[in-house]
Amino acid sequence: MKKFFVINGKERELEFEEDALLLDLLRSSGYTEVHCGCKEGSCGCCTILLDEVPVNSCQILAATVNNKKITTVSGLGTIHSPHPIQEAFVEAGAVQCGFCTPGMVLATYALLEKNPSPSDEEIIHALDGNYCRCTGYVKILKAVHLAAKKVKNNV
Amino acid sequence: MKWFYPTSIEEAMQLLSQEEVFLHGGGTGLLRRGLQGINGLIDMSSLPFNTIKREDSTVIIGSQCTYAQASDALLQIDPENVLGKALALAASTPLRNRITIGGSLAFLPPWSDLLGPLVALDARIAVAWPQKRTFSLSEFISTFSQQNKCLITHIIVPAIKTLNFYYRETRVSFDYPSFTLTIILKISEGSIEKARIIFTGNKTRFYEAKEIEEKLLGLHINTITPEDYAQELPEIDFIDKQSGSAHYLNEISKVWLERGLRSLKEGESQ
Repeated sequence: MKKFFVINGKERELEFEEDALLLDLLRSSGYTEVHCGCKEGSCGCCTILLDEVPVNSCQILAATVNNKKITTVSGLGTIHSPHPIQEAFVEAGAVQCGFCTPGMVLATYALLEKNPSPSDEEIIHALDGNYCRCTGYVKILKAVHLAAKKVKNNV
Repeated sequence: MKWFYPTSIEEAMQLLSQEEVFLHGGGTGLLRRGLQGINGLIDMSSLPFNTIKREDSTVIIGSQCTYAQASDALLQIDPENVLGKALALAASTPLRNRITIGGSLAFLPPWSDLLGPLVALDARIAVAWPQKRTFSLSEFISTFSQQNKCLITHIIVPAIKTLNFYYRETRVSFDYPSFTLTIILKISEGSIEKARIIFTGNKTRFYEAKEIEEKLLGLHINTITPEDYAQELPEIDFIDKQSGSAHYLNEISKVWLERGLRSLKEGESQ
């Protein structure tokens, strides 16, 4: 089947099988920044924003994405022009192997859109679907607080 | 496998009468089940089931609303709403943004965080197909199993002020709970007017501790003795699970019943 998708602000027509997962479709279409981890909706590596809301793309059948806006981490910033959240993750040392980072950054973006000054508890709740097996989360918490400051100053 | 995108309830009902055609809510339950044997999937996202509204003393939640939407709306109405609190604890943020109320009821897994509060609150489930009527949770469970298809339109949740406690027994927060405990107490001038104590995760989906509920009625909240009621909790028909044997889960249930009642007692007397 074929459908139109709006990915990172650009409209694209993609062809896929009826039972294709959104994760697989995105990766096979070049969006390899959407990482494949557990494929069970547990780890959060495949997080994308669907109409600004974080979801596990491994838990979504591509055929159900009707006129919804998809944002991957590349839609937030690039290496030459990083988003303040991406800068904060680097500055706080919250990136080690980097596999979970796209999901973490997107989850942080969604959180800060709703709550510009989150507490530790609110950050933990918002990022509860994103696993990191390197950092121990302390630096991720610091990064989210730093990102909140940076985003506020950027406005 | 074919996809259908109905925009009206009538269209969806017509499609449902076909064999091996299933409804797709958020998709998380369906993916867990696997897509084998499915000839067609009905995407429900264009059906008018995604609103939440307050009507008199109830909250009507559309079946296509996600856990996150339902939880946010309920906690906005009442920050202590037990269903709102339970749904906020379920799964994880990205999954709460995807799991729908209707899908969760259709699959009703033993680890569901939806079931206990719905039973405790005497919520009702509105179904449009195969018969148009509302069901209590018990009726819904006995009428529909995972194999049967039904078109859930919304749930009706009484918006009553209660003292309440919700607990999910997990090793880490992301685990499926081995059991859940919902306690609600309706208090009038310090006296317990209504008590509901619901455990889920057992063989019969949920267990209501009716004997203890009856003992609590009419008592002043400050006079209850949580440790005694916990010891009186009968054996619940849990099965042995990876997270613990049935015996272990029964012992832990007693502990959490005591802690739950104590927290309500202490919370009220502060």
